[in-house]
Amino acid sequence: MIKFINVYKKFKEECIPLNNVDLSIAKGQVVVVCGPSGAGKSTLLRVIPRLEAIDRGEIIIDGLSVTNSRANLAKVRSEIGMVFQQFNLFPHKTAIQNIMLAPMKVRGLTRKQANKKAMALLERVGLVHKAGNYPSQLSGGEQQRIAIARSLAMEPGIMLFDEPTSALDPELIQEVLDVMISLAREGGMTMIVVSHEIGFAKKVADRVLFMDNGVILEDGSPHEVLISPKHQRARDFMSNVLHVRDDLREENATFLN
Amino acid sequence: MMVTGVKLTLLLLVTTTLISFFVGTVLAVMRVSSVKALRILGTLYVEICRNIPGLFWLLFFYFVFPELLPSEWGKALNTYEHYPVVAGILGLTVDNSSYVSDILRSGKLAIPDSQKEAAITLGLKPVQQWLYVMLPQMYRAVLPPLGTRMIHNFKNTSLCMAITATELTWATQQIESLTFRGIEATTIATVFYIIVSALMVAVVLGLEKYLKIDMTSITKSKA
Amino acid sequence: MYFIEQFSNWKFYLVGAYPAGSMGGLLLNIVLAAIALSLSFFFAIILGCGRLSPKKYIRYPFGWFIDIVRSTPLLMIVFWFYFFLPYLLGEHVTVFGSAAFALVVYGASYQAEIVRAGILAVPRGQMEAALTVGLSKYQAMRYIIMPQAFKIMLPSFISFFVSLFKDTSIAYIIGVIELTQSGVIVSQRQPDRIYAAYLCVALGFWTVSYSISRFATSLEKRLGTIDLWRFSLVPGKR
Repeated sequence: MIKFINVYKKFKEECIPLNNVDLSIAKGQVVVVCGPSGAGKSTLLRVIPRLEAIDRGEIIIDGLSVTNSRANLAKVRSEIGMVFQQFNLFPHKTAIQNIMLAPMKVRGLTRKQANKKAMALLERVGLVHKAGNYPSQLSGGEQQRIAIARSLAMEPGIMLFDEPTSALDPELIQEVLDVMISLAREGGMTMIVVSHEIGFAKKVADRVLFMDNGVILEDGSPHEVLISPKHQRARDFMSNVLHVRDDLREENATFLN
Repeated sequence: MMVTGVKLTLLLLVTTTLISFFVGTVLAVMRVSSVKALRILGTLYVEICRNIPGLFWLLFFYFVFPELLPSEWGKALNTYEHYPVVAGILGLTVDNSSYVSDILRSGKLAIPDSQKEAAITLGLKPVQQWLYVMLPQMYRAVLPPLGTRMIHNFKNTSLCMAITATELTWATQQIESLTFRGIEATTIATVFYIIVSALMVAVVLGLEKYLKIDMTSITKSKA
Repeated sequence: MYFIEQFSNWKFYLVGAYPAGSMGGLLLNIVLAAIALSLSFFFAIILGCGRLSPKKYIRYPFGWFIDIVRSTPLLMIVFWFYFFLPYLLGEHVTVFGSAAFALVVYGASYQAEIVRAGILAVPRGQMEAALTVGLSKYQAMRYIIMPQAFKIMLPSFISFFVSLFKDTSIAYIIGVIELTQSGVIVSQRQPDRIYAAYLCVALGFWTVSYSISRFATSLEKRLGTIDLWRFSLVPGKR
C-alpha cells in the first residue's frame, strides 16, 4: 500500500509539482494518472522511490516511511520497479545482461539462476530472440519491453510507469501496452501508470487520477474521470487531448482491420 | 644496460598506469560525490597536482619524502637500493592520476542522470551503481583521451632518470658517458619509445572499436 | 624569525641572479615557455595545414613528422638537440638554447594537432560558401576558416601553454638553472632549507599554471568552446 500524507514539493518559485497531496493506493490497484504537462504527474511517481526528495509531508510504503529513514528507503526501493519514458537501458550491456544485473548483484542469485529468470521474462515480453542484442540494436518498443522485464526481474510489489509510451513511434506503442495490460490482468501487482493512453485506462485501470498544478483534481473510476469529470479543467483536457487521440487510434484500428 | 632499461621502463609503465587508474577513478568519484567534504578533498588534490610539473613530484618523493618520515624509516628508504624506482612510481602516479580523474569526470558529464535513476530503482547500492552502471560507461566515453594520457604517462617515465632510476633514457645517457656511443643508444631508445607509443595507440583504437556502444539509445530525447 | 629566514633566497627562485648575473628561476621558465610557444605556433600552423593537405606527398611526411615527435618523450628530444645540435651547427649550443629548440619542435607538433582539430571543427559548408562567392582557396582559408578555427582553438592553446610551461622544468635535467634547479641547488647547499626550497618551487609552478588554467576555463565558458588539448584524441586519429 502506498500512502501520501500532505506531500509538498517545490522546484522553483511558481513551480509546485506537488501541492499538499493526500493519496492512498491499495495493494493490487492499477492506477492511471493523467493531466497536462507540468502538472506534477512524473514527480508524483519519482518521489515514491525518492528520486526526488520532498519538502514536506510523508510517504509511507507498506507501513514504512521513506521520508526520513535511509534503511527503510533501501528496503522499499528493492520492492519498487520503475519504467521510464526514455527506457534507460544500460547501453553497455546486452538485453539479457540488463535484466540479469540486479537479481545477481542485489538478490544474490547465481549467474545460472539469473539467466533462467531472465529468459523466462524475455519469453513473457516476447523478445527471447533479442537476448544478445545491445539496446542500440533494438527498436524503442523492444527497448521498453526489455526495460519492463528488467524491472520485473526484481519481483517488485509495485510497478511505476512514467509515460512509458510517449517516446515511442505510434506503431510501436501497442506492443508495450500489451505487455502492461497482461501484467495488470494477472493481478496482485500495484501499478501506477502516468499515461495518456485512454484505451489502456479503460481496459484495465481500477482508478484514474487527473492532476493539474500539483493537485489531484479528479479521482475515481475510469468512467467517472474520463467520461464525466467534475471539474471544467479536466473536461477541457479530456476533450482536447484524450478523445481526439483516442478517436484517432480507433480510426486507425478500424482502418488497419 | 639497454635491456635492463627497457625492462624498468615497461615496469614503470605498467605499475603507474594501473595505480593511477585506480587512484584517478576514486578521485573522480569523490569529485562528483554528493558529500561536500569528499568533493572538496578530491578537487583540492587534482588542482594542486595538475598544476605542478611531474618532474617536481619525482624529485619530491626522491629527496624530500624520506626526510618527512621518522629518521629510521627515512634512512631505510635512502639506503634501499630500489628506492629510485619506488619514488618514480609515486611521483608519476601523483601526476597521472590527477589527469585521469579529470578526464573521467568529463566522461561523467556525457552520461545522463537517468542512468543512475534506473540503477537506483533496480535497488543497486551506490557502490554497485558506480561499478556496474556508471564507471563502465564513463570509461567507454573517454577512451581516446584516456589513451592519450596513458601515452603521455609512458613518455614521462623517461623523467625518472633524473632520480637515477635505471630506465631506458638513463641507460642511453650512461652509454654516452661511458662509451661515447650515445647516437646509437639514443636512436634505439627513440625507436623503442615510438614503437611502444604506436602499439598503445593501436590498443586504444582496438578497444574503442571493441567496446563501442551506441549512446544514441539513451541520449535521444523526445518529450 | 627562523621561519622567514628560510625563504631569504626568494629572489633567487624568482629571477635567479638577474639583473646582476644571468637570468634564472621562475622567470626563466616563463621566458622559455613564451619563446617556445610563440615560435612553435608558426611552425604548428604550417604543420597542421600540411597534414590536412589533399596531396598525399605533402600530407604523409607532415603526418609522420608530427606522429614521431609526439611519440617521443620530450626528454629524448631535448637530448637529441643537446648532444647533436653541436655536430649539425658545428658550434657550441648553450643548454638554454637546446632546451628552447627542443620545446619549439615538441610544441609545434602538439599544436599542429590543435590547429588541425580546430580547422576540422569549422563546418564544411563554410569553405564551400567562401569558394562560391569567388574567394580563392588561400583567401577562404585566411579570411573565413582560420578566424573561426582560432576561436575554437584558443582555449586549447592556453591550456597547452600551461602544459608547456610545466614541461620547461625538464631543462633542469640538462642543467639549466630554472626554478626546479634553483630549488635543488638551495636544498643541497643548505640542507636545513630543503622544505622551504621545495615549497617555493611547487608554489612558483602552481601559481602560474593555476592562474593560466583558470583563465582558460573562463575563456572556455565565454566562448562556449571546449578544450581540445585537454581532451585531445589519440595522435593520428581523425
